[in-house]
Amino acid sequence: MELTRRQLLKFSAALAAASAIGLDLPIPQEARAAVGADKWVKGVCRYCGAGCGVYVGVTKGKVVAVKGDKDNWNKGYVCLKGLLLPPILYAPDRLTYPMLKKGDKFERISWKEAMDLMVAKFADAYKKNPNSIAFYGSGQAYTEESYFMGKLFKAGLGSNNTDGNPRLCMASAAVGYVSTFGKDEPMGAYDDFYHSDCFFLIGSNMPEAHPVLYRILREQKDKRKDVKIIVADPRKTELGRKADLYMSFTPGTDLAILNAMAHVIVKEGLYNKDFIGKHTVFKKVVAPGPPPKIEKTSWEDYVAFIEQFTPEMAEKASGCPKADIIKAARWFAQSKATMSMWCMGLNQRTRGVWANNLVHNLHLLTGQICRPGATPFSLTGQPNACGGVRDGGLLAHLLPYGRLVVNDKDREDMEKFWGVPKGRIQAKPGLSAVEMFQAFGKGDVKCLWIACTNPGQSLPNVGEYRKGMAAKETFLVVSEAYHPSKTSELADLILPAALWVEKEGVYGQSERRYQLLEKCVEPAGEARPDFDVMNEFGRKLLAAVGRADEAKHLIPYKKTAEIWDEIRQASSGTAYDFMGMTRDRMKKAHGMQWPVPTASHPGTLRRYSAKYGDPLVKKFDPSAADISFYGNKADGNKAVVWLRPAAGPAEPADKDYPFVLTTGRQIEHWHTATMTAKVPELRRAAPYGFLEINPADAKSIGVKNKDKVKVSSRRGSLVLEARVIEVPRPGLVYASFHDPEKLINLLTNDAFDALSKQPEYKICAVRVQKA
Amino acid sequence: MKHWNKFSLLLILLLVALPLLANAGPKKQKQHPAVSEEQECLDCHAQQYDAWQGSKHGQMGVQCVVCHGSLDATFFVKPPLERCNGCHADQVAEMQKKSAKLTCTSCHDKHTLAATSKTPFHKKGGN
Repeated sequence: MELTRRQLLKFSAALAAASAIGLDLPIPQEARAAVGADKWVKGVCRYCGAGCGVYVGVTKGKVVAVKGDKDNWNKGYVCLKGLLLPPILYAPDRLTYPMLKKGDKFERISWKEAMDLMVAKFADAYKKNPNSIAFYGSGQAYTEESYFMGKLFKAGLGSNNTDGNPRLCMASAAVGYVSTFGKDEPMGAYDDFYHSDCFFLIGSNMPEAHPVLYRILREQKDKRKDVKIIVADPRKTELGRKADLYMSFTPGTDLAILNAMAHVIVKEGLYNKDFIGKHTVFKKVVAPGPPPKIEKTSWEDYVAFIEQFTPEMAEKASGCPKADIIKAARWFAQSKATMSMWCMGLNQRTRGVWANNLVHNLHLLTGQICRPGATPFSLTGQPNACGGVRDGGLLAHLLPYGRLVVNDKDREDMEKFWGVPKGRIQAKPGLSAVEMFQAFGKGDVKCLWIACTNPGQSLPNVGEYRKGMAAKETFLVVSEAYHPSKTSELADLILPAALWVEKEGVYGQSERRYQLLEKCVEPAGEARPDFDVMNEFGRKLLAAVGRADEAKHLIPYKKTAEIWDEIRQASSGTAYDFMGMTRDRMKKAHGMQWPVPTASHPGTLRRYSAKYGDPLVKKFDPSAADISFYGNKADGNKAVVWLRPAAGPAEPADKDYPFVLTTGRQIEHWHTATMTAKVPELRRAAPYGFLEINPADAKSIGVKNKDKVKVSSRRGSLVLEARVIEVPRPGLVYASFHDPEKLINLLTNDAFDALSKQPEYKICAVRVQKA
Repeated sequence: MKHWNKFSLLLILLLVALPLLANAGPKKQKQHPAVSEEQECLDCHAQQYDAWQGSKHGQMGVQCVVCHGSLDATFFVKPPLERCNGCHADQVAEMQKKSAKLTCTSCHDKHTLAATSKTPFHKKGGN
């Protein structure tokens, strides 16, 4: 029997009421925010990529409260989700023991039975074909866990089939940074909020997705009257309403706008000739490939290329008034310091990398970079997408700390570092997220382990992939804190996972700040930290495939702190270098920003500038006077201005599907709401998914507020309640992806960016009818 | 879904047991009247909602549920200090040091949270 959402609400009410009169129930009475606690342990919020520092209040072995860390970047503030974290640990559907699917039902089994079965299945598949096993990780796993699985697969098993959900949210930003600056991750920091006087936000709903960052933005806007905020977004959210300049446009046409802003900057002489000459090169694609054929080109060629992107042309393409484009370009170029920020609106696109490159172009043309307040800065969705899966090299094309599997020297370096035979690491990238689930559906991947994420709800075109995940011919293992989730219900074997402060590890958030989370309480029931399970699995699997001796030196760990020491060594000498970020320092610090090359180095606020404290400029580019994009040694330590044409989405609206659907987060819930839906306050505040529709569109199809509407794409359909509101522009509808009973990803498009392999969640064509 | 069947059974047991045990516990919080899932705070509390919406809390998305809780045992007519403590720990500590009887709304308007006292209480630079 499935519980309905209404029944869950009542269930929760009964639990809480019973708890108040002293019954022994899953949610302890103490698991409500308390002023006092036996002890307060420094940690990090479990949710978004902002990475708010928190203190976790613990009483009688239970987490009872969360408060902001005033000595961290967030200055003591947390959002409503962060404040209400404690109940997620004590939800009634915590998975507390391993379960195996027998027939259509799950039955409790022991950890030994679970591990023996898992090892046998993976070993059997591996012996037949090393590429028939795969691991799908998470930007919520700890760094040590992601690093471990990358090492186990790539070095221990010689398979690059490890990827993770950051592929779905940050891959375009990562490839954007690498293609422009040579290495991933931003050069700027949250500190730039305090120095910028022009904020250019595109494809971000910061007030809902990153509320504590928005608090700083609003504070700066209120305090400093010269601050200007430009917002480009087809939805006029709270951010757009508070902007000095709001730019609306037809979804998918923003590349034309970004190029048109560059056109204005060039034509009006607003560029920084000195900066361009010293620090940039120009490149273009001359044959699309794959792989694309790239050539260096010139400033003159760029000027000729950008000629076509007049504000008039961009207005015609996008619907954004040319006067707004001109004004935005002038403000961007002429402010004392401009900070750009973007999130999934640019990244979740089939041209996500190009869009990222075009934002970087604006900063490079104007020299609005590498000084306080002047920086491009990508916002991150998950608490450890940066620190674990990107930096730690779990993604299918990566090795740790900026190394690539296609690079011969990088592979050899890591083979030597890890002590495995030369040639062990495959030169070909493994399967990226969507490719992995496609291969699993076809049966090319026989065994898949998913940990700390919920792709049964979060994948685009999820109906297609749910079929593959449910197939009986393959073996699906899911490590989860809760059951059922939209993924665990499809598994063959589910493993109970310790959650958040039930285990110890490192998170790395958007501004290169790494923070240690210490274990505060014991895991629920038989749940174990994922690292413990991975470690045991790794040793037993390597033994089962005849590499028991190798396992002894390859994965000799007893605790995550030992992996951390190895990770520091792996970063040493790279552009990430955080050799000086010892566990002891992290215990005391309120996060540290890499590079941190020595034990006495305080961390680096801004990268690529010697003047502003990057210790690696002189190391990698000794002759540099100040700025050096040392990640891009191949281009003389210069950044790349890309000639990228405008290109539309994979599936624009048409006469059969006349609306564009876009998806996103809302403030009360985080991602697929496996955690936030367990918090009564959050569930009450936002109990179900809905469809935002513009009043003009609602009128044209005869729909009133709160009517039920059927929204359909070429892949699926769903009935949702209409929220008639002046937020989406005409022609655009919006839904949050948090509601497990309203799987909006049945409709979204799984077409992905050829460069980043990130899918185009943000744009697909739909029709909307009154249900 | 055997898993849910267990919860359903527990739910039934609880609903039967609760009335019998209701007098055994400490004094209960004032309960919120039953409302449907579709109803929002704004529907009945427009005046308070408007005041809140224009305030810093309103602009930053610190919603009604943060201070008042949900509609079950987490519902509070008067927000408990622990909710304020999540972001304003220093101020709460300062206030408690002065008098255990004080609450944040002793000096701050209930829904805008604007300071109503002419004498600044907190140290400058607080949250």
